[in-house]
Amino acid sequence: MTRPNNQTTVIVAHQFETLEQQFDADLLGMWLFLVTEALLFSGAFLALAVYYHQYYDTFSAAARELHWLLAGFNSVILLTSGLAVALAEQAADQHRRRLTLWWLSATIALGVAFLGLKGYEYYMEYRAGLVPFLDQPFAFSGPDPHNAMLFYNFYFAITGLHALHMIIGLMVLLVMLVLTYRWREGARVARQVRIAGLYWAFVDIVWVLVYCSLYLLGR
Amino acid sequence: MTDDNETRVRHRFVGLYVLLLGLLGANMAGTLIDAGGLAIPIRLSVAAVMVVVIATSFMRLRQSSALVQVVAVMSLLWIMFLFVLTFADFLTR
Repeated sequence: MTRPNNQTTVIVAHQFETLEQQFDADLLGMWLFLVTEALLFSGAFLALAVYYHQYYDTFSAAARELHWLLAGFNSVILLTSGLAVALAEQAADQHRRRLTLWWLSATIALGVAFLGLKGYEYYMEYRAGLVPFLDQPFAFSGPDPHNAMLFYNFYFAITGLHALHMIIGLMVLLVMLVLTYRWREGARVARQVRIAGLYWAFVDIVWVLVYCSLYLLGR
Repeated sequence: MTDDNETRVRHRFVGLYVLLLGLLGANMAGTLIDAGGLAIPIRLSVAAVMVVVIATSFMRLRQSSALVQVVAVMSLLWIMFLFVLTFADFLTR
């Protein structure tokens, strides 16, 4: 079935009555997926909260060793990328191909910058001997290094899981960049960019919670 | 979408972005002040406001269908169950 669009003919999948219905189903599917992702991260945050309660002093001392200002700057980068992807969605809605390409490229560049800075942060932690794996002696100088090691395990697991989601998000955005460049159906591109934007905004939300719980709560 | 409307939406996104930066800055600056026992609830509350702003505006939850809004609220409810029931057990042992 085909439906007229203001610029091009849009193919609606056979199981849907209208393009709007298909779009609603796509959005609902993405939101349901994000709910499962939220539950995944919630499990990690719950475990962190329980151990924070148990070993508050040690976890706070361990958290103070993290580079909170650098991570704060990284938060600004990620929030800016969230704005960029929202503007890409708006540009795609308006069928403005070049502007969509520009904002998607800006989002990807900011995402790569975030991961680069995060990698540098990991490197500094490695140099400081705060990585509780990789067969490196754990060099935490504060009290109770055994439980401080537990904090760093949480830190690397949660930030690593977030970074993995960032990498997946960047790959999705790269695909969006190619689809936008080809621009076969304006309405379809707008829908796809909107759904990719939902994922990226979710990654933003997770980072806001990661930054607050790992870097700020112990300070 | 008219040009005026486009500009209005763009300005709204930028305004919310500035708000998010302000909240992030407030949370970071808050670490320099000794708020005692209130520090953790305040920092978590500021982060929660940031999450709400991103979810309702950048994820366009306010403009989404009722079904999507129900799914989002239900996810919050499940996460709340997870935390409340776990801590109800953990704190009363």
